[in-house]
Amino acid sequence: MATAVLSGCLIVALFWLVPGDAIDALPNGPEVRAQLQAEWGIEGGGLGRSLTVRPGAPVAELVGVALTTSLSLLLPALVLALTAGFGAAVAWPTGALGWRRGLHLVGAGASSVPVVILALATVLTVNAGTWALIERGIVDRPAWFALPVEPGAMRSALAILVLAVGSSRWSQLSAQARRLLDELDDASFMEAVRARGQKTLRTRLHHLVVPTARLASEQVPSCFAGLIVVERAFTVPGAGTLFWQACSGRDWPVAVGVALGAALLTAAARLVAETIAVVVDPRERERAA
Amino acid sequence: MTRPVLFALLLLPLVAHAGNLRYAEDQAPALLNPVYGSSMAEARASELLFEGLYTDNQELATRPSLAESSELMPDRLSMIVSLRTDVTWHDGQPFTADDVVFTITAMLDKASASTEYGRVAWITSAEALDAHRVKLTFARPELHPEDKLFFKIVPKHLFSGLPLKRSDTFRTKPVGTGPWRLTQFNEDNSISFKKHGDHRNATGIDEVTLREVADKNYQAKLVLYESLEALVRVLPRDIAMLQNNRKVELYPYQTNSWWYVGYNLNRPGIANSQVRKAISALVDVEALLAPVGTGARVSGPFVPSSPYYNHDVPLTQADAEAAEAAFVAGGLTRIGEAWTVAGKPVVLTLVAHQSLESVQEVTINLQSQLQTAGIRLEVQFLDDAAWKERVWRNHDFDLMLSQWTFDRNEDIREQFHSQGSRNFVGYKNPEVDLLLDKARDAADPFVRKATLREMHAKIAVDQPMLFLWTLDSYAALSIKVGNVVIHPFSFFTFAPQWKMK
Repeated sequence: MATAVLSGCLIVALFWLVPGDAIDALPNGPEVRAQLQAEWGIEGGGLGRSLTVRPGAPVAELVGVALTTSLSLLLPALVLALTAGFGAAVAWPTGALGWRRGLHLVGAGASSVPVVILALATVLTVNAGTWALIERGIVDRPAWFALPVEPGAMRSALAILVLAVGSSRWSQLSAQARRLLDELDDASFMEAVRARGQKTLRTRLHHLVVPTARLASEQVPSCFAGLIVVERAFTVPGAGTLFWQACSGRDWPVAVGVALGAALLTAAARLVAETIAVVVDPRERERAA
Repeated sequence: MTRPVLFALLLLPLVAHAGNLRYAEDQAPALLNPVYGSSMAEARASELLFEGLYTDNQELATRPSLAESSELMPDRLSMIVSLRTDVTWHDGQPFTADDVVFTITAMLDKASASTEYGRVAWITSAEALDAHRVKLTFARPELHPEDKLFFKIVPKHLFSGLPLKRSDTFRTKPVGTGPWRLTQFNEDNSISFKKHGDHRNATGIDEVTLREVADKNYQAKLVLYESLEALVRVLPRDIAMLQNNRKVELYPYQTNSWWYVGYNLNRPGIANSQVRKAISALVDVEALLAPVGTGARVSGPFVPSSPYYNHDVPLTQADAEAAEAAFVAGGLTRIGEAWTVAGKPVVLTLVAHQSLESVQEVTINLQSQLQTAGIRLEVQFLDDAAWKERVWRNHDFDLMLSQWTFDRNEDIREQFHSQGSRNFVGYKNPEVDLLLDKARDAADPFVRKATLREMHAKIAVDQPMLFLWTLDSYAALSIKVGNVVIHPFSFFTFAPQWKMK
């Protein structure tokens, strides 16, 4: 299924990138271009027009705005997930009991809850708790209340938190981070640094940049999947919401547009990670050369 | 660092919403062009923005809106409508007869493919006599044509001509003559409206906000949390919760809406009237209604408060013996627990629209009732697009669970005439066709009433549907909103008289 979607996206991307369009391929003069553009929804090089979500609106424009909104959730969520993952790796439990084990279990438990349940439970709990405080006169009614209809920083913060916890496969992430740290500690160059009596933090950080960038890029596809649920639950008008609306309204140009945008961003994340690797790590540079 | 920031956010002061009425819809309209209305959410938003030539007064009698007066010709085949001269569009342009002619012509125009065609199909031509007088000509003599002139008028000057398209920029930049004008479509799919300052009637609400709350189950909570001032329809399970709240008032209102299980008469087995009779006799409608809420059972295609409802037609009753006799008469054989045809157990497919309220409770209950009696029912919940393909276009179902909602004209012709565009069950009865024609052409309201009551009795005998119930509807409004009267169909028709305290 994923292959089919990606193939579809790739084909659309290629059609989009090569010069000319379907009208150019017809044996007609320029006089029919305007008429056929209107009829087919082809806007020179664009992705066509929305059928039902925003009838007539250019898909590229809709997807662009929605992806920008989604990125404002996705990027902080990635940073949060990685920070939590490495934090858990540093505080990796050493015994059967203790606070580290407890923390690890809580994290693993929360991230194993389906993101849809996590999102709805967050909305219901935060609303019910805040309303109880308001009713008792303990707090004034906050501007963000009630979720999810009031836009604002709180709604975004909670959406980012839920996306980070629910979509990051935290258990795997922290385990991967722990393995990275272990490999780093066992590396011969780290032994050399320690033997010289130098501080290891700088070397550690330098050698973590590349694997962290790769780890982050691997998280992007699952975060995109989580966006569909999180944005619906928190009423965020991003790519996830747009994709949901497009599927419900059978607006295939918009659905393809969002899928294409998500595929391009995933590819871009991988490209950024590999570029960082080439820039930072001389061995990668040699391999690339 | 994070903790103080979150705490500060928690303590942000209350945002004032004085004069702002916020109400919820499951799905915000994607376009606001009344020529292409397709949902109740659009109808309600259109009621804020646009006006028709006529509208309802609070007793639901016709009164002029954009019209000032009218003169029906003696042959009842045409009328001259005089328009108000003090009306302006939201963009300041004067409202004229050309706008009325343009709207009717656009709705009639086949190439424009208006969803409102049926509302003007009885008009053969519209002609502007001068800036404020329109002559309408009808296909047949009309007794009270004003009753049908409720459709919304759009401004001619904002369209480049015919045909109209759903994608015209007007869809997101609608300009009407209504008491509120559109401010903007917001990023979160909410829509903001502001009072139209030049409207002839002062409104007591400065701003209206349509908020999209996809989760129907959560809308009542948001009223409770004072994040919404109005909820169009309260789910039965939320009635008690809101009733016990001092800050919310519940308003009961009667809708012309009824539920039914439709039989697909194009399917050979279902076409057998004995089989339909048997299935209807197996269903305990009261038990189906209980989890949905309170309401009145119906025996035909009108609500009991309708003048066309025939109270002499009895309600169907669950009767296992009668069902068994009807199945046998219909050629079915009982083998063990199951009813069979040619040795094979009867398996029926029921489709239901997934957005129908309490649809799961009703279908599971129905499935259980039929299963107990020896009929296997496979249930499929469909989203809107799948519903239209399966039910509207392909008629691919055995049974369908749905509801119909009508405006005050209660025109059921499209649902029951053999040529009706909404006759998805494939019902054909020449006598009913004749009665529908007679009712449509009747000049005398008493004749119309008697004809439709007779038709009700005939349909009840044919049973193209198992008629279920009409539900009691409640709207919830914050006590901050006063002077509330709710229109049963358009909801906001009397909203200009509402006041924010």
